[in-house]
Amino acid sequence: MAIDTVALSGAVADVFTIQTILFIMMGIVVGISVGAIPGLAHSLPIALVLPFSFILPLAQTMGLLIGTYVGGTYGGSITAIAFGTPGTSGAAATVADGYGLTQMGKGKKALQMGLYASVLGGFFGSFVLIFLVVPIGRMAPSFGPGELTALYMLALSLVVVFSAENPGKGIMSAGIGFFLAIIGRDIITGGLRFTFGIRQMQSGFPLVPLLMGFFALPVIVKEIHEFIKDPDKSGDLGESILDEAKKKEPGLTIKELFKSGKAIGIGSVLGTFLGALPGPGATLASYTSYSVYSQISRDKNYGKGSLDGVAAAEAANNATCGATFIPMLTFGIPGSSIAALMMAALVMEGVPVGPRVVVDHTQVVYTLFILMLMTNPLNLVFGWLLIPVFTKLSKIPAQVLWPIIAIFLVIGTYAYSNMPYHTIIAIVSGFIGYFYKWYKLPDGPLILAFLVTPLFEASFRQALTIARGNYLYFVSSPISIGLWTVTILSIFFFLRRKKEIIEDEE
Amino acid sequence: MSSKGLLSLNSKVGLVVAALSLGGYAWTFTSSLRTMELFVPRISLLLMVLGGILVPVREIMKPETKVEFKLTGKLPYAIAIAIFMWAYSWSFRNIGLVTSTFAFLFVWWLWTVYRDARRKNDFSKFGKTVVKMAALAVTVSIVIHVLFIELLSMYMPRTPLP
Repeated sequence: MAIDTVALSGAVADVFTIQTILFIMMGIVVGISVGAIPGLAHSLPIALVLPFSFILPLAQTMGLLIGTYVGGTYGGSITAIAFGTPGTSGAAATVADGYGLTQMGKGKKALQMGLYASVLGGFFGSFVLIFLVVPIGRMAPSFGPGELTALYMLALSLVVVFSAENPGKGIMSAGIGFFLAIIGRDIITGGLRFTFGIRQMQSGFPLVPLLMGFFALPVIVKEIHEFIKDPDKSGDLGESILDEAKKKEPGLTIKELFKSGKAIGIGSVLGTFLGALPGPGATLASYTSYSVYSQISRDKNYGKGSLDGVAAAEAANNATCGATFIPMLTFGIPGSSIAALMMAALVMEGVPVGPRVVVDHTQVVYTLFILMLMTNPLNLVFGWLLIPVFTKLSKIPAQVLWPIIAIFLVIGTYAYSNMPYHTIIAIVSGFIGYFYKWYKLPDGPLILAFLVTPLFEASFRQALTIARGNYLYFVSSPISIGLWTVTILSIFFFLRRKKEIIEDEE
Repeated sequence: MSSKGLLSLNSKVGLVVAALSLGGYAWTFTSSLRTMELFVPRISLLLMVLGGILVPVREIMKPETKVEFKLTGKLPYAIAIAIFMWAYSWSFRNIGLVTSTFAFLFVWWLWTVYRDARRKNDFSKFGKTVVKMAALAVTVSIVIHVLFIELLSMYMPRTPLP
């Protein structure tokens, strides 16, 4: 695609104004703050500012929305790292290592790594959006049910590989994830599966209350238990908060950042690829990246408190931001709910999003590219400014902080859809999470299986319907064959690699 | 359970999960659902059976990997916190978000301040700390009201909110 200089100069003139930059900044601050509150998904502020598209020019509206999106995607990692409670579902993969580092007294390092990996992943996703918007956009719709089944099998095989260290517990965890995902109405026939006569369960096990309860409740139980058993470990009320907060923690060094370069690279590539496909989203991208990197990482603390784990998950999480625009700008397919909101804003601004948008509205497309590129450095600045605030919050005594988190958890799950049922789901998920912690089950396979199962089942059954029960359909296209080959090779490669690591350690 | 027994607690839990899942798997054959509707549920149950069996098998094959852990006594706390969460959810739907948030937080903090003062046998700062915590409870209640009532009523104006 040759560069249209007139459209580019018009886009530059639109974006580089004080008003647009202020709207981007406002979006980032709102996004980070809301993303950091468990229960308030960053789709909420995006939906809130959507009506501005009626009164503001396109560059300012989209600046505000993209700023909120990018800031919110990063913001979810702050509470994941500081309190072990993901602010957004996309940050769930960051919990194990991020919170592990906080418990080791390296919370600041983890928060900084989360920020830098998010910004670098975001940049990568934005560059790919600019340079590969047409080729990748063409590839995504060529994935039919057969190809998508193969793709999801690749993700599911990673679940098994992910748990290679303790195969029994990993497989059990994946099985539980599969099971929770199929509760509710059958996606094709509408038959009720494992709802046990409970009407609310017909809509299935909701993702957000599941994640919030699963991750937050065991931590709340642990912290309150420790406070009651050993009150001396916790600071005095109203006295020690500031004293503790004044203690300076060492920040992330350039060497540590470079050391995690590989994790950031893998996260960025996987996040961009999965973000460009309709369906997977930031949560699946961050978990896939996290599980892929677990197989090549030599860090003994991976999964317990590793900077690489934070980097892999956060880079993938934010890399999806730019990539989400690829199917939307080329084919008018919003890959996620947030992309659908962005698309709605563009339509309200009078831009008919579809296959001709690149040709007919080149200036708009360039404006979006420049906004994406500008948002990342501003995210870096505001994230950097807000890190000390959140680092200080993690020093608040347990008896003050954790009841507040518990209250946010309850009201957040209720506000998610105004149903008390979701609070019950969060509590039940909390018990599942508590069992996972107690029995030392890996949480990655559960989440990955829970996310992939509905997509896998839909593609698998669609493919079988199209092929009239002929299983050879799954290997009938070059893309499918390629994906199956990659699946088999990756299983062998990762298992061999794992064996080598174990032998090296011995 | 101690390591002196044939199976550790780790293995026993694995076998219980496997047995329950196997029961579930057998139950699917009595279900009225179609085979295709039960395809993924059966895979999930079989995975749980396989996983549950692999846990003791691994311990028998590789005794050096045997994991010993015990019940830590946190379960009563988990149940108490779950009850607290449900009670809070019930109360904000019935007596209002600000009132219930303030009440729950303040009662908890009042108890912790009293417990702390009694433990140290020093009530000199008790009144001052209680006032501080009351102020914090009010602030948190207001923040929650703004975030979850004001903002959400803008976002979803027709939704019945607490």
